[in-house]
Amino acid sequence: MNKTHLLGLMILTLTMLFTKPTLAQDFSDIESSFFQASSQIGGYGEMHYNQTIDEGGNSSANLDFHRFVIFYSHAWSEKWSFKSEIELEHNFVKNGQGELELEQAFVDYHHSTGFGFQAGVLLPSVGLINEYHEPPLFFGVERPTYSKYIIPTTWFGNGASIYGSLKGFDYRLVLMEGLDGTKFSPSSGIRSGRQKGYKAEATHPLVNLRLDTRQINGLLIGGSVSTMQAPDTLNGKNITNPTSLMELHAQFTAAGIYLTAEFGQISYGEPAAVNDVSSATGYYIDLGYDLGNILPINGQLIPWIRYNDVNTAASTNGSDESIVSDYHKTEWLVGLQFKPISEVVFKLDYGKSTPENGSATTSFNMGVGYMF
Amino acid sequence: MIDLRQRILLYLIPLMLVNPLSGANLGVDAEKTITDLFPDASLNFESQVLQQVPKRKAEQAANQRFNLEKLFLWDIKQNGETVAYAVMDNVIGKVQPITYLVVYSVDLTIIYVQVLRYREQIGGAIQNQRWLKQFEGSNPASSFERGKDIDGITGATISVNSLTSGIKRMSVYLSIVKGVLASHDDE
Repeated sequence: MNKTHLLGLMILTLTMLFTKPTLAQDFSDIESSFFQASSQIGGYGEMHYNQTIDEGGNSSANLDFHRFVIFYSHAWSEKWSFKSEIELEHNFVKNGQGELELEQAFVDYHHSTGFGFQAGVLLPSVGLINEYHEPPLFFGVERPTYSKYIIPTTWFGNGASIYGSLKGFDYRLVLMEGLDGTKFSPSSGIRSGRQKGYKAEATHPLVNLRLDTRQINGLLIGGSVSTMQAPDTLNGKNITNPTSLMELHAQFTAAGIYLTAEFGQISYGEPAAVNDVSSATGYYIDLGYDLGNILPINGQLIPWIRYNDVNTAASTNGSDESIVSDYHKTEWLVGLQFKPISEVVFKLDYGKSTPENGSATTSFNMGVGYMF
Repeated sequence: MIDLRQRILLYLIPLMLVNPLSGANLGVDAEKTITDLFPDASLNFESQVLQQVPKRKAEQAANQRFNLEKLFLWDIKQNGETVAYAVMDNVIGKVQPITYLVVYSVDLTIIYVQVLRYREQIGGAIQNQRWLKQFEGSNPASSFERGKDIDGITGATISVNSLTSGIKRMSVYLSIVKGVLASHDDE
């Protein structure tokens, strides 16, 4: 570095550190009242009763405390904070049953509304539910099938991101561990390829970019693109499978109306590595209305309806077209949810899932969830 | 010699180290907003310790505790008469405090709400002035019910709940201590 640049750097730094605007009244003595370093505890959880009945009339039922999550955070300053989320699934962990996961743990540098930086265990910005998955925030006891097989929620991993809001658009760019291509399949798409931060292979990272906008009160519209070269093997050779996930999402919540729509597509550049499957597609639409707007109810009582269509083998490289109908499933659900307060929800739903090839399944679910 | 890329990086370092908010000042920002609403007004600022009984009643009404121990209040006068009040306060968001300003008419109807400082990624959409406009016209007797009086925001549930409860809590507190505010006018 030459002396001119060093001098310029020193002057700029000193100027920024010691220059203050001229104030009509000096409020600097009260400024410190509005921020104190502190820690916060939060969390969410959900218990489910799931009953399924096949076309032969055979029935099975489970009662499961699906997710118990503790959220812990600390703010050192207005700019620097730490956030984490630890999850226990299915009550306990033993012999491959249940899961204990560090789903989020990152340092956050919030420079301004326009720019922030995070590093640690992160959630990529894909779809509406991956980042906002607390039970009072979505309809249905279980998350939509779309949010399992097209968007593999909860998708988390080690990495870094930048984020901010500029000219009415919220952006977030994530660079994180990629997916394990050897575990992609026609039945579950990319879901099993998540490394979940466990000594994650880091030579093939994933890039994820999301843009959202809220130009009308109550309406969110956005989309994201995630892309990577997924390491895989084919005919005994190491290859990379160019894999991408493109999705669009919209949600309208105003005047008691709840309308949600999501569409996504996974594309594989090397179909031969995924049993000749070249893409997976899916979408769902939810419509609900809060009867609390027209009836004297304390809280929210929302009947809703959902249509869901998922095909984890939507197209092939042409060698075997029959697989396209093997993994195609449509689903209708009707449900009711009651929120006595906005952080607690009681849910029930009834639905029918119909595979293109195979017999239909009827489901009846009940659940309770909370967040704080 | 250093190339252009290195030079840009070097000059970005102090920008990263210095808090962009260090030159900003909550009180000054609040007064700018108030002055925009009441260009000819004279502003008298004072902070006073929250009174215990009204504080408790307001916390019960809104199901939310006060984050600050003091009331930060502007008495807004035109031609010597109080025409409005403004209050600057905090609520806790997902992790960080959210600092907001509420401007009230003398009968404590909300005229304007602004988020003065938001300090984290999640929930930043509550800064949107279009959404904040929903509070205008509310008063201490309003229910401030989420999903009915106040629409939610996708991706900002905790911030929406927290700010809505905070504005209700502050409105109720002011309605209880209004006698004190009125006597302050007479001084």
